[in-house]
Amino acid sequence: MWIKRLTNFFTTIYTNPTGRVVLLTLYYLAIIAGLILMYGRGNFTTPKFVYQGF
Amino acid sequence: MSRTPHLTAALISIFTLLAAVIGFNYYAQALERRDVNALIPLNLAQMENGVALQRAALQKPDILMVYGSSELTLVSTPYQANQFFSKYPTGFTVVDVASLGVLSVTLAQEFAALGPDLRGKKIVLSIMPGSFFLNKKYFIENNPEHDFAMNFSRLRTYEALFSPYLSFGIKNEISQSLSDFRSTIRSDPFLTFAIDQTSSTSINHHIMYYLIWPLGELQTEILRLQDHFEVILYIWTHAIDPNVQKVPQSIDWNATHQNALAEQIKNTSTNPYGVENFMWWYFDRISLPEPTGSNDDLYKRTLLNSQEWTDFKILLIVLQQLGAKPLILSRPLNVPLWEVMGVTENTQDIFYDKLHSVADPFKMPLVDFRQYDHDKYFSIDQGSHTSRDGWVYMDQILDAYYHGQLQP
Repeated sequence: MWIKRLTNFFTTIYTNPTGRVVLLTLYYLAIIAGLILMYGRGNFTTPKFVYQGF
Repeated sequence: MSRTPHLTAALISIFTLLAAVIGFNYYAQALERRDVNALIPLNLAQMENGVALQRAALQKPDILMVYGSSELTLVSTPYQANQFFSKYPTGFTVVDVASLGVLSVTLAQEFAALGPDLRGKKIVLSIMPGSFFLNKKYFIENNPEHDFAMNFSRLRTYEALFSPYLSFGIKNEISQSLSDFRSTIRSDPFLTFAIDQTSSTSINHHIMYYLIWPLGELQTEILRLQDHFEVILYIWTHAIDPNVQKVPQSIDWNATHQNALAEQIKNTSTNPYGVENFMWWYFDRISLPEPTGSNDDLYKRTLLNSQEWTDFKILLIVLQQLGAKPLILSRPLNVPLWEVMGVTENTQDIFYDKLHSVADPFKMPLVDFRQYDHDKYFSIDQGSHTSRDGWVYMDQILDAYYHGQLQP
């Protein structure tokens, strides 16, 4: 039931030109945020000192 | 807008992202500047591997940055400058940006990464004779490839290669030195490609470099943001009090020297040469003393053919082009120890001659402590890693340099 209500809600917004842009913007921003969360963290670690046996 | 909703949404998203990035950048810089004094004693890896914290520290007038290698870190003692000045006794503290096996080419990238933040800033470049004897039997047997990998930072390398503040000529020289360390760099194909373009002076490579420059700048900016994020994440997840404790006090240098020397003598009890106990195993395998002058030729060859001299000159050019005001803080040779290792004093002196022939043209203040090269307790080994008593001499010079009282 709630899925149908949610679908109707988004369909109503999507039929409005401004609402469509807002939804698309949120969609794109969500994708960007997801990508940053998945791949955004840098790796600044270096190999530890290894005794070289002389 | 109704005809092109995707384009409009994409543009809004891009501008939102840009605004968020710019906002985060300002926020991160403000937070780093606020907390940097409190973060210094924690010796965060990000101070070594990143750039953001160093930039924040350079903005603070009560912080003196000292860059170097193992001579700053090998002996952990309260006389080490970062510990000695940790409570700001004479109005400033010291940050050691150093770790084991830092090569001159690594330091050159480090300074290049700091770019315009170095302009007009007093910093200290620490060096020691041992750094110029790399990879040679009987002397300092490090492996430069290993040392480079251990201190490699993609951020610093990108910053150096795509720096708008350095001439193409010096970037070309840095790239040529970096080409010796392909095993470390090849994990980043774009960086490898950029180094290939920059290390050549042909017009085709030059054009290619400028074509990839926007991509390089973009990658550099991403790495900068990641660097900020690591620092900010630490600040968010730890209770940092930005108000550090400062305890002004006058220093009795004579008493400090006496205490440090007594401690040093205690820590060299296994041998008559003033070598630190934990380093003595190295000499134990050589039967000392070796015949007088028996290693003179090896010393000369090893010293004069070292790649480090070329890279040291590159490093000084980088500092000059960025307008920094460095003090070059060298260490004295350990003359008595080298003599029992079969190198006569006259031959040893080639180090000072070479050092001055490279550094003097840059007209940067240079302290070589040559007057102490017969003091067997100044250094803990033949590479001139600083001893406890040696550190007190360093501290005196750093104090005088910070307060503008360094005698020429």
